[in-house]
Amino acid sequence: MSTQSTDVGRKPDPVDRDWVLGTRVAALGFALMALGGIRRWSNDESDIFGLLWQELDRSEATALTIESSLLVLVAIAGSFVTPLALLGCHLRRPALVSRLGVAGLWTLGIWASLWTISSTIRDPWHPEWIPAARAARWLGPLACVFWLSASPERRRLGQRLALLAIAATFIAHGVEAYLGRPSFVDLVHALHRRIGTKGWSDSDVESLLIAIAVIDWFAAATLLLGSVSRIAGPVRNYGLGWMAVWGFVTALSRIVQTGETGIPEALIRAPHATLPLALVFTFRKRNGTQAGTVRM
Amino acid sequence: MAAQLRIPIALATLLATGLFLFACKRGEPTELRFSGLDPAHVRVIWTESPQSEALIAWSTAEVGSEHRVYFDREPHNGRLDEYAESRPTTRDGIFTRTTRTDAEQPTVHYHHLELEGLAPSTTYWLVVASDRHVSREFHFTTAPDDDRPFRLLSGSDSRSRPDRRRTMNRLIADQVEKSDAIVAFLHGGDYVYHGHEIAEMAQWLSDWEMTIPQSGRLLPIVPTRGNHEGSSVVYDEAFGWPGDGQSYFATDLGPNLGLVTLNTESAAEGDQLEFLRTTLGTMQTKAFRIAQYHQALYPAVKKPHPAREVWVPEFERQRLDLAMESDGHALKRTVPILEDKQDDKGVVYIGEGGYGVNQRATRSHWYLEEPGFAASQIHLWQLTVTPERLTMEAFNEQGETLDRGERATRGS
Repeated sequence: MSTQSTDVGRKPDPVDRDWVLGTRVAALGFALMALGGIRRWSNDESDIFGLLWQELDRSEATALTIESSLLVLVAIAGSFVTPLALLGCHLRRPALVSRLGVAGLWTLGIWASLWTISSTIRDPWHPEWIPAARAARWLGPLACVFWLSASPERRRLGQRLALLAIAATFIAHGVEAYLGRPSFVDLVHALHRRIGTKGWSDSDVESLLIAIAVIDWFAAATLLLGSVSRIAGPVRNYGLGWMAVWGFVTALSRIVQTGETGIPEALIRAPHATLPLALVFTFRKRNGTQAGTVRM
Repeated sequence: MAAQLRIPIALATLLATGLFLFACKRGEPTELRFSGLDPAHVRVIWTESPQSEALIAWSTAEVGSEHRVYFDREPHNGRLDEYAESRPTTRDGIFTRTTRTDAEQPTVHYHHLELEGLAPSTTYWLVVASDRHVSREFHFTTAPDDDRPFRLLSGSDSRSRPDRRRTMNRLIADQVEKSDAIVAFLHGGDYVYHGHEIAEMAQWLSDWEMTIPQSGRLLPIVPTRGNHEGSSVVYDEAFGWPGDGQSYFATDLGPNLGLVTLNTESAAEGDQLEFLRTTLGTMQTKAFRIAQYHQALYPAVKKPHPAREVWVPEFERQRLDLAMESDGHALKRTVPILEDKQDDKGVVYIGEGGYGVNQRATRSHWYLEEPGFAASQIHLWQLTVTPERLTMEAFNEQGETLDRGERATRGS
C-alpha cells in the first residue's frame, strides 16, 4: 500500500494525530495477536496444520513445515507491526516504519484469514459463525492498512471496514453465547472458581450468556445503526467504548480460566479490545472537526 | 472507492470460493450396505447399569411399522415363537440431517429398545425384527456384579482411516470369539471425521458389524463423545442419548471396577464437575476407578484440554487409577502423576487414539519418559481387571503387544 507525501515539512494536524494514535493502538493489538499465535502454536497444532494433514492429506512433515514457515512469517510480520505501535508514524511523510507496518498488517491479515478458513472447515461447533466471530482478527489488520493512507477517503474506507469487522465479531460472539458455547460456560464457571464463590449450575450460566448475547448485539447495533441519526457519534462511541472494555475482559478471562497457559489465548484476542478503542480515537472531534464521519 | 475495495473483495471471494469448493468435494452420494427393512447395524450399548440394562439398537433404510426384539437366555436360531420374551422398541426415528451436504445424505432409520430387568453375567440370545424382516440370531452377555476377572477393549479416533479401523474390527472379532472374558468395548470418541454426517456414521456402524464373530456375539459399546462428534445429534441417535443426552455417565462394572465417562465437548465445570465429584465419591469401595474422555489432560501431542484445571485435582483426591484419553493420535502411557509430579499414588493416563487414524509424532514430556511410554503406532488397549490388579496392554493390528502397564489395587 503506497502513501503519498504531498506536504513534506508540514506539522501533523490534530486530525492526523488522532488517526496515528488509533493506528498505534490497533497495531499494538495485532502485534499481540501475532505473539499469542506464535506462543500457542509453538506448543500445539493449528487448524492450518489440521487442514493440511487431515483434510488435504499432506504428510505430517509437510504440514508441519508449512505451519512452521507460516509462524516465521507471522513473527516477521509482528516485528514489522510492533514499531508502528511503539513509535507511531507520520501519515503525510511515510517512512520505513509505515511501509514495514503495512507489509506486516497485510501478512497478519492473510495469515488470520487462512486460519479462519481452516477453522471454519474443521470446527464441528457451529462453524458457520467463525468467519464473522474472527472478523476483528482477519479483516481488522486489512482495514488498518487503509488508516495509514494520506488520503482521508481511504482512511474512512478503512474505518468503515474496521467498524464492520468489530460489529461482525460481536454479533457472532453474541450468537455463540446465545447458543451456549460450552467453552463460554466454562469461562463463567472458572471465574466463580477463581474468586472462590459458590458456582452456578450450567443452566444459570446459560441464562447469563443469553443476557451477554443481547448486550453484544446491542453494542453491535450502535455501530451499524447509530450513524443513521444525529446522535450517531456519541452512541457509536459509547458502543465502541463498551466493546473495548468487554473485549479486554473476555480476553483476560482466558488467563483467569487456566492461568499461564491461557496467556496466548488472551493475546490472540487482543484486537477485540484494541480495535474498538482505536476506532474511538479515529472518531474524535477536534475544534468542531470530526476525524471521521462514516455513514454505514 | 470501488478500486480501493478490490483487494478486500478479492480476498472475500477467495475465502467464499475455497469454502464452496471444499463443501462440493465432500458432497458425494453414499450408498448404504443395506436396503428396505432388513435390519442392519445391530449393536448393544451400555451406559449406567450394564448388569441389568442394555440398549439394543439397529438401523433400516425404510421406516416400517413395527420393530421388536425377541430374546431369551438360550438360543432358538431365529424361531420367533420360541423366544421367552419380545418387546417393541422404545424409540424409533430418522437420523437427523443437519449438514450442508443434506442432499447427499442417505435416509437411515434408527430403532432403540432399552432393555431392563436383565440378570448379571448372563448371556442373552436375540433377534431384531422390523415388520417381517428378521435379523440373524445374535447374543451378548451382561456385565458381572461379582468379583470375577474380566477384560475390556478400548480404542478411539477411528475416523479417517476406515481401512485400518476395519482391520482392527476383524481383530476385535477374533479376540471376542476366543475370549468370553472380554465384556465390552470402550470407545473414546471421534468415530468418524464429520460427526454430523449420517453417511459417515452409517459407514462406521456398518464397519462395526465386522466385530461380530461367526458365533454372532455382540460386544457392547460404552460410547464417549469426541470433538468430531461435537454437539452432533447423529451421535445421540447412534448411541441412544448416553447420559440422558449429556454424554457423561458412570458405569457400574461390579465390585472390581467403576468407570466414569466424561464429555470434553461440553462445559467441564459446573454440572459435570459436580457429577464427577459425586460419582467418584460413590466408587470408593471399588477395587479400581477408571475414567474415559476424549481430549487429553496429559497429552502426548497436543496441548492439554482446559478441563485439566478442575478434573485432575478431583481424579487425584478421589484416587482414580487410570484415565483413558484420546484425540492426540499417538500411543502413550504416562508415569503415575500426583500434583504434577511422578508419584506411585497418582493417576496413570493412557491413550491416545489409534483405532483408525494416521499417527502423530509425540512430543517430549517428563510424564512420558521411562517408565512411561510413547510411540506413534496404530493400536487398541486391553484392560484386564481382577480384584488385585488392573493390567493395561496395547496391541497393534497384528495383535502384537506394544506396551504393558499395571496398577495394584489401593483398596477402599
